[in-house]
Order: sequence, then structure tokens, then C-alpha cells
Amino acid sequence: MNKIVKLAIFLGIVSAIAGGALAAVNNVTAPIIEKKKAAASQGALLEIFPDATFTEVEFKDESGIILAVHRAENKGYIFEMKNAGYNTGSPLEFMLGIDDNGNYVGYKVIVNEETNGLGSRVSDDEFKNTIVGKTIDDEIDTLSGATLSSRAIINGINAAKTVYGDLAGVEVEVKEPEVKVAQISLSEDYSSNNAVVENSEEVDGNTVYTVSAKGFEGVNVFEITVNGNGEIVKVANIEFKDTVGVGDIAIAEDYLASFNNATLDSTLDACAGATYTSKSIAAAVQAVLSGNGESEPLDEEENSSEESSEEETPVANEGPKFVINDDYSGCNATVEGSEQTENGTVYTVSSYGFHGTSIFEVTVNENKEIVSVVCTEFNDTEGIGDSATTEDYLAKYVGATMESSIDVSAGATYTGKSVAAAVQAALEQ
Amino acid sequence: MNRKENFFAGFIRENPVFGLYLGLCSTLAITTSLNNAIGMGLSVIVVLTASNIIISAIRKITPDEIRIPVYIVVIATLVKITGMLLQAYFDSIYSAIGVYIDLIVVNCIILGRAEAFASKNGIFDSALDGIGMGLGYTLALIVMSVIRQILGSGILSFANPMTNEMIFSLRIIPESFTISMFTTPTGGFLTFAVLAAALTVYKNSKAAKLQKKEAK
Repeated sequence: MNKIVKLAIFLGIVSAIAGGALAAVNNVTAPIIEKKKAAASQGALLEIFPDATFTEVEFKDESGIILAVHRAENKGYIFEMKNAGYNTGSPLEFMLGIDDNGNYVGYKVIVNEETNGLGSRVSDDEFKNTIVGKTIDDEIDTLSGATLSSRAIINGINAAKTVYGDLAGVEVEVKEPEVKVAQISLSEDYSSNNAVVENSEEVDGNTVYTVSAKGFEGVNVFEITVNGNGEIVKVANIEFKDTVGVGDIAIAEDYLASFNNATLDSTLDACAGATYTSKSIAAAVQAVLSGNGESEPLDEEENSSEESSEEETPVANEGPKFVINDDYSGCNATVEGSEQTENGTVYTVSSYGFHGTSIFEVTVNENKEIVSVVCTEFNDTEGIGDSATTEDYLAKYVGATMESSIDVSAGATYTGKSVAAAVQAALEQ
Repeated sequence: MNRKENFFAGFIRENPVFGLYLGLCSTLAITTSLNNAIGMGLSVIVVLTASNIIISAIRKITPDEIRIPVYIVVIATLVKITGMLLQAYFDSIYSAIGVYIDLIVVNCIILGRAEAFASKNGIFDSALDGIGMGLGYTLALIVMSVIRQILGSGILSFANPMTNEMIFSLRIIPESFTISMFTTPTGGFLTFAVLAAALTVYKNSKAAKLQKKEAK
């Protein structure tokens, strides 16, 4: 018994000392922490209304978006709001300042974890400038490509407007945000969508193309039906790999029907809230329309049956040529060193072919003509790329200048390009 | 025991993280950036040294039956004080690792050293042990965070914890070659496993050499 009391007293004393120490430290740090917190939120408020004194005011908000309302004395109100855009896990938090004349005087996003490059743009000045300077009587458009995020902000602004009306005793009219839709023109550059015509098939006089095109996060596949006059009859989605619940509004039949009868000159509305998926449709349609005139559907089929599992693109005919003065930046040709010899300057050039960097010795005479090209280190596919580094093939470069064109190395296009790139790099020296 | 040897034991041989496998939860959680690692490491050094000193000082009057609750009260108090000081003076570090600061209370390193060392040794030795083990823990955090930050984001950066001012920020790997998995706990486990294995190999080879020597 005595022992237990002793233990309890000891533990009690230790705890009391600990508590005392904590209280002492807390006394010192609490005011500093408090001040820092206040400075952080005050700082944002002061950015909107400099030199104002703020008091928090009571408000009634049915939307649940508004977190707090600050009254800047004699100046206006600041609304702290939180509303989910696309990333429902981390809602947008933002502030809006409305002065006593009903002008939007400040807008600041505090938390924005929306998709980088899309919804994140609601923090940018571009969007800020569509708000600040307007008044509560103006409408604010959503941001195309960031419809969901900007709509979250505009719904917040509308909630703030309603509360502002109550507080300031003015009539405000709140309208649903007008969705601003991006225009997509079929003649635009959609190369980033990587639209590829996979297949084509004749059906009742029409041609049905199967086209894959990259959307926002995946590759969507479409079936595009074109009639004999090269007009779009129907666009159908057969595989959807974009965001479910967002991008899929663009593959609704209604929206796809807007592509009917489209030509390369057409400009269509993007599907609001699904700009990127809309663009993948446009890219697919463009691929069909621009390829239609050149290749007959039959060729298409022949090609696809001919396509082997070879790694390099075979180029069967003698027609195409490598223009030395072309852009070979993909080969990353770099002159590693040079040496003067009787025959001219020998440059050691590394150049990237199909999957490896090969090394060439390119000899250039004083007239800027190629004397010889030798491959000293070959790192492309054995048995395929090496046909472009044979002595016979490299001999074609003898006498070449910057203006020359050399026959394409059939069956070894990529390695051939790396040779042309190396020669170009040497001639540029 | 040799004091010097004792002090350096925590660095490699008995490194609390890779050698003794102590305090892993916080290690995996905070080693996403060098800044967090250094902030956490320094906090642990402070708490560990202070708790070792205090526990060593009261070791003779602490009744054996309630030593663990006493240690916990001491450690929790020190952690809370460290947390409050960080929040007041280093708020950028606090906002990044504040959640884990409270976890130091149950960080096995601290209770482990209190029980295994400070309760049996003098104040000076205990302080040395605290600093040594704390440095070993910090070293482990730094190694892991450097690897994870470089592989995960391609950038190695360090900012002044007082002013939040960037001291250096180097891009080491181009953005398109980074492996974002290393910023997640998965990457933490991988990094930890590889480093722990490397330390074991090192220790085994050393032990084998020692045996050979003795055999001769």
C-alpha cells in the first residue's frame, strides 16, 4: 500500500513538473504562433484592401460555399470561399473582394490542387482579369479547358453576390454561369493528339475508318464513316480511355453528330467540360479527311497486310531521298572531335539512329565536300540498320555537299537518317 | 566501454534506422525531401539528447515499477515543447512535418535509448549517446531523402528553415526521366530495403574479415 502511494506521488510529481514546463514554454510561444497565423490570413486580406481594418461579420449562406466574410471598414467585403472543382478531394479555396460600389476588387486563390495546366489556370492572371474590374451586375465566363474548376469559382462568386446583396442591402441578380466553349477548327494542328488511321473498310459505298487519337489521358478509338464525296456521315466512339464522368460527355451521340458533314474548313464548338476529348475527336476526323484524297482505302489494306514485325520502316522504292540540309534534330548528331589529315578534316560524329547512338568518321575537304564516311561504332539493329552503314551505301555520300540529296537506305530509314545527320553536322563545322 | 566508439556506433554499425530498424514509420513518411529530413533529424537529436540527459539524471530516484510511464511523460513533454518551439520559430518546417513531430513520442529510438542506455549510464555518456544516435538517425534520413528526392522529382533542394529562402536547388535528372513512385511510401520502402541490405552486406563482410584475422 505504502509502495503504491509512493509510486503515485512520484509519477504525480514528474507529471506536475512536465506540466509546468509545458505551460512555461506555451506562455512564450503561444502569442508568437497566434501572431503568425493572424499575419498569414491578414496578409491575404490586406492584399485586397490595403490599410483596411477588418472585422468578421455574420452572414447567411445557403450554398455552403462561403467560409467567412470579412468587413473592411468603409471599403467593402472579403469573402473566403471553398468549393470543389475537378479535384473533389481537395476543394479550391479562394477569396473575393467586393467593394461598397459592387465592384470586384480582388480575387485570390489560396488552395488550388486542380490538374496542373488545366484547372490550375484559375489561379492565373488570365482568369483573375476576367473577374477583377467587373461588377456584381456582370456575368463571368468559365474558362474553356478548365470548365469544372472555373465553374466552381463562379458558383462561389454567385454565392458571394447573394450574401453581398443581403449585407449591403442591394438587389443582385444571380444567373447560372455561362459556359464558354472553346472553338475547335478542323484545320488546326492536332499533331499532339497523334491521330492514326488504323483501318478502313467499305460499307455500302461508304468508307468506315477506324482512327485512334489521344485525348486527355488515354487513346480513344473512333469509327468515322465517310461517303463517296469525302463528307463525314457518322462519327462513333468504340473505345473510350479518357476520364469517365468528365470526358465522356463528348462522346455522347448528340455531340458526335455535330461532326457530321464537317469538312477541313469547319469550326465546331468543343464540348464544354470535355475540351480535350473533343479535340481527340477533331484530330481523328482531321486524320480521315486529310488522308482521304491521297490513299485509297484499298491501299490502306494492302499496306496493313504488308506491315511486318520489322523494327524499321521499310521504304521499298528508290524515290525518297535524304536531303542533307533537312532537319535531323531528332538524331542529336554531335561532333565529338576533329583531326586534320592530308585528305581534309576528319570529324568524329555521334548520331542517334533507331535505338542507339552510332559513331561516324566523316572526312570533309576544304571545299566542304564529303571525302569519305565511315561508321566506326554501330549501335542500331543488327541485320536491319546495318544496311545503311555498308561501304557501298556510305560511298553514296562521297562528293556530297550541304545541297545534296542521297537515296534513302531502304529498310533502314532511321539508321540512314543518323548518317545524314552526322554528315550534316560535319558539314556545318 | 570506449566513449568514442560508443558515440560513433549510431552512425553505421548500430544505425538506428538501417541497423536497429527503429523509428521506421516516421522515416518512411518524411524522407520525401532533404528539408523535411533535416528538420526531423534535428528535432529528434534535440529530443533524444534532452530525454537521455533527464532520464539519466533521474535514473537513481525513478522507481523501477513505473519507469516506462515516467519516460513517456518526460519524452512527451520534450516533444510537445519542441513542437511548440518549431511552430513559433520555424513554421515552414512545422507545416511540413508537424504531424510527425507528435509521433516522435512513440518513436522507438527515443524510448529504446532511454531504456537501453540512459537508464543505466551517467549523464555525460547518455548525452553523447543521444547526440550520436540522433546524428545516426539524421544521417539515415538524409541519405534516404536525397535518393528519394532526386529520383522522384529530379531536383535536390534545400531551403533555409528560418526564412523559407531557397539556399540551393539543383536539377539533377530531367523532369521526363523522374520516377514519381519514389515520392510515395512505396519508393520509401524500396529505398529503405536497398540501403538496409547494403548495410547488412557491409557488416557481414567486416565480420568475416574479423573472423579470418582471428583464425590466423
